[in-house]
Amino acid sequence: MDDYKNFLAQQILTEDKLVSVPAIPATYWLPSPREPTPANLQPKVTYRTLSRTLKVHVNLAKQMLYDFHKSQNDKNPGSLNATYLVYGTRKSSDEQDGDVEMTDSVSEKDETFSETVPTQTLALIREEMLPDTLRQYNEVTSIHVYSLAPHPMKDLQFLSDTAQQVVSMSIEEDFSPGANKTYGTIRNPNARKRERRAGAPAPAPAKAQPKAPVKQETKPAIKEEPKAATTTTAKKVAANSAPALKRQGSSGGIGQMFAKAASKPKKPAAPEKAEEVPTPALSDEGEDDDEPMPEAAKQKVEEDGKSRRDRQAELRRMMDESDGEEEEESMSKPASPAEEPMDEDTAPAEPEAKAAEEEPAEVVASTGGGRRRGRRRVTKKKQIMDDQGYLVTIQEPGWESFSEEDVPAPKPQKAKPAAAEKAAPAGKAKKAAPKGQGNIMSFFGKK
Amino acid sequence: MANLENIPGSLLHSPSGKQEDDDLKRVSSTYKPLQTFRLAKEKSYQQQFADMYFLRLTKIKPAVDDVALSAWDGTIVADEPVKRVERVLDIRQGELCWVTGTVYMEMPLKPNILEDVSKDRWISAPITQEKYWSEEDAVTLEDESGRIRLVGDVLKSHILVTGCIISVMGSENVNGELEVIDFKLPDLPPQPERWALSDPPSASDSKGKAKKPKDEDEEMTDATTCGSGGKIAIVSGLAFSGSDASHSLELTLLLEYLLGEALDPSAQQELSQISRLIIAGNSISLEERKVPLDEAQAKKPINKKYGYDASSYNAVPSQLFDEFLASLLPTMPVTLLPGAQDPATASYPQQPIHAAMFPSSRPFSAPPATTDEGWLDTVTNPWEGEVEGWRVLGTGGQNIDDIFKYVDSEDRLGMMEATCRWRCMAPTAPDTLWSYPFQDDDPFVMKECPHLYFVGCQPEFGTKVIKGREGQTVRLIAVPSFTATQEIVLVDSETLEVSKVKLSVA
Repeated sequence: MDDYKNFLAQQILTEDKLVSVPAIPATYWLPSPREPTPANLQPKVTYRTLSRTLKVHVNLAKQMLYDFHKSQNDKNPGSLNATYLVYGTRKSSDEQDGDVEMTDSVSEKDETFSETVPTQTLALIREEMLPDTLRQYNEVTSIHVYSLAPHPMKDLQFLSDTAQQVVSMSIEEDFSPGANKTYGTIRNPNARKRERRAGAPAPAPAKAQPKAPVKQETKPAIKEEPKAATTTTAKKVAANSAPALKRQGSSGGIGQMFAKAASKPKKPAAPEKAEEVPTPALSDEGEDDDEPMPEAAKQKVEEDGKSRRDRQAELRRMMDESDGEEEEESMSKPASPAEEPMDEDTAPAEPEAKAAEEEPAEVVASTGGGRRRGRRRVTKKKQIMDDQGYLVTIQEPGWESFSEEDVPAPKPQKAKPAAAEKAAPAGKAKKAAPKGQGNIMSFFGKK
Repeated sequence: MANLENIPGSLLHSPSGKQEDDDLKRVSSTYKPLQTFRLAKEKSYQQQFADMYFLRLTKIKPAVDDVALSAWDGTIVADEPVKRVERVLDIRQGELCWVTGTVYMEMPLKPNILEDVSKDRWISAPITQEKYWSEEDAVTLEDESGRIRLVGDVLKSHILVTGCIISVMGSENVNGELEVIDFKLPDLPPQPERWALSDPPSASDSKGKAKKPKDEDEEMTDATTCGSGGKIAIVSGLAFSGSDASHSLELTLLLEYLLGEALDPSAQQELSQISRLIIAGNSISLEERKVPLDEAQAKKPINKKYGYDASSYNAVPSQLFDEFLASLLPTMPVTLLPGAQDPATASYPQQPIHAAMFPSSRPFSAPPATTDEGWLDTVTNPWEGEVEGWRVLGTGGQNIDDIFKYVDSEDRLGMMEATCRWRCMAPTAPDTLWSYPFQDDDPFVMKECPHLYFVGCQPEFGTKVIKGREGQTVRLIAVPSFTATQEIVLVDSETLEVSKVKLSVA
């Protein structure tokens, strides 16, 4: 029972003990106790740190602190400084004199606007201020020792460091109900946590967390993927792969996204979905393509199956950046169709320049679902202020993306070769657009 | 005058050796959040804002018309009967009439988008004035047909801001202004019953669950306070900061207080009655983000890896907040509203702070893509829900802060009351309060009257009860910023009586 005294002596009195009572075998808390200690490193013990260290109820810890403080100061007055936590109602008159004196006008208004409500004050006060403070209270319902330190604290805010210690101590203990009981934290039988997938440790320290789920998701994704690659269910055109990759940012790990992409095509509704999700809501396209024409859809199935395989090959290569195992398998297998568009894509900077000279009316990026998307050349009006302060309207050529009903609808029978052709320019147009922000695929492809 | 000797809950004695075996259980919280202010994940910003005003007018107009009709029907002023006029444009000079429309405040100091555009500025300038209010302000009333200027001293009797819907009675003078004799507000909307959405915890249920502590509760509360049941704690403006430690000890005390570790056994028993914490905005300090900016500008090469300069980005505030929540959550459910400073969307209604901000408290939040509420419920601002059966409406404070700029008054409670009487909690959206351009519905229109209406991040505490014509009673609470006042608000979950706790460090 008395071991807390030893503990407290070690914790707090090491500095003084060296001078006065050298008999205490102290495992020194501070490396060099003789040097003046910076205020924030001064030894200090609060009831919470004591309760966590000795694994006792907080209320018991409060009493221990009191007892130790009393016995030490009886022996050696002034050797220990305490802070007290006082809870109760303050005198209202004192409050106006002391607390709110600066905002008198406001407090007057306060009375007119607001009801006055009972106010409890929870105050942390230094030992020497205790009598004064108690005089300001009407009624004190509760008081206890909050902390002990060898010297008067210049700034009580340093006590908040101890809260950090408590947090680090309690993280190890995993907020189990038992822990609550030991320390006297109010239990809540209704508290509920989300079950973590695959039973990762629940409130693991922050660092460990991001890793665990990603790893777990990566594995099943790879296993599932070859199966999915063989199914030639509908999927969006190659042009979609880039936005799809963007989507992964929002939904967590690469692996997770991949798993999603692989499993989706099994559902019949998937193509529409896949089409819509990546479309940025700000663009004006992607509104009406919910109902693809049946023939076109059939034809899309084929072309999409191919482009999907390409995409998966690429994705797998991305995965291999980190995983390294299945590299050969993926490279050898269906990788060649994936390579072709890639190679074409690498050179498009010049074609783009040429295109600018020739000035084609428009570049069709994709056709599908009865809509054509792409960019076309338009003359834009721009208003600028010239140096004399006049507004000048100039016309300057520019590109504008468009999406419209497919007027010269490509015939489904003919579409098969055409689609393959189109897929390539699609990639090109995509590539050509913003030179600054290249396609992420080319980064991974050109290794 | 308190004496050290006569403090009932004093722990200033040596350990008695007797192990207190009071295993405190926190009272349960009945809670049903509503999704009134959730926006779709994929939202378009292409539409115009005008729809919001139109929707608001069509939704609130019937209510004001009712009030006005019952007040003015058959009224004769100076031998002239008051005539109802459907549209602003139908007002005839010299004729006594009444009409309903949207108030628009013509204010020289108010930022004006048209001015910005004509000056070839495409980004609205940061707002520098604290108030838009000035002597030259003019009140106008408009609807889809036109706009008319309102004059008359009676308008000064109540605060009016852009966007609220009122009925005015008067006649047009030679200047084309409507001289207002009287005006009417829609007044409080109908109020649902308590427990309209959730079931009250039945007595048998709670007994079966926690029989023993319940008995203890009653004994204890009889002895100490007359508190009939649980309490709801509301706090705002915690402003966790990485550099400014001036109130970190108060935050620590707050945590200990809510955990029930501070104080003595009987006070702890009281603390176990706090069933829920609602954080009403501004949990993370803003000053934090300005300092590194200057430093970053000083040193030239900035390596922007993920769109921000990782070396100058400081994650400490959100980590501290996360730690705070993670310590608190095992013992208490938390509803978290974002505020103006929080990492959420900037425009009203602010969408929930993403759980990814809180790696260690995230396990307590609801799993994604489910509709049930989490133990840590990150919600929208404004937010509506049912807590302990009471309909609760809360905001992070921007709506009142913005109204504050329009009027020459410090009376925040009066502004809160006005929003209830207007049936519109954020009338100044979308004019000066940034807002999502709603197309089909204006959620800021109050369809149902809350029992408890709190507004966070206010300069000082205030509370009052207002009553409506149909017996509605609303408890208004202006929740002060914790950084400024170190106060938290406790609301009794049976009576909606309010008390507060002030933390102080001397």
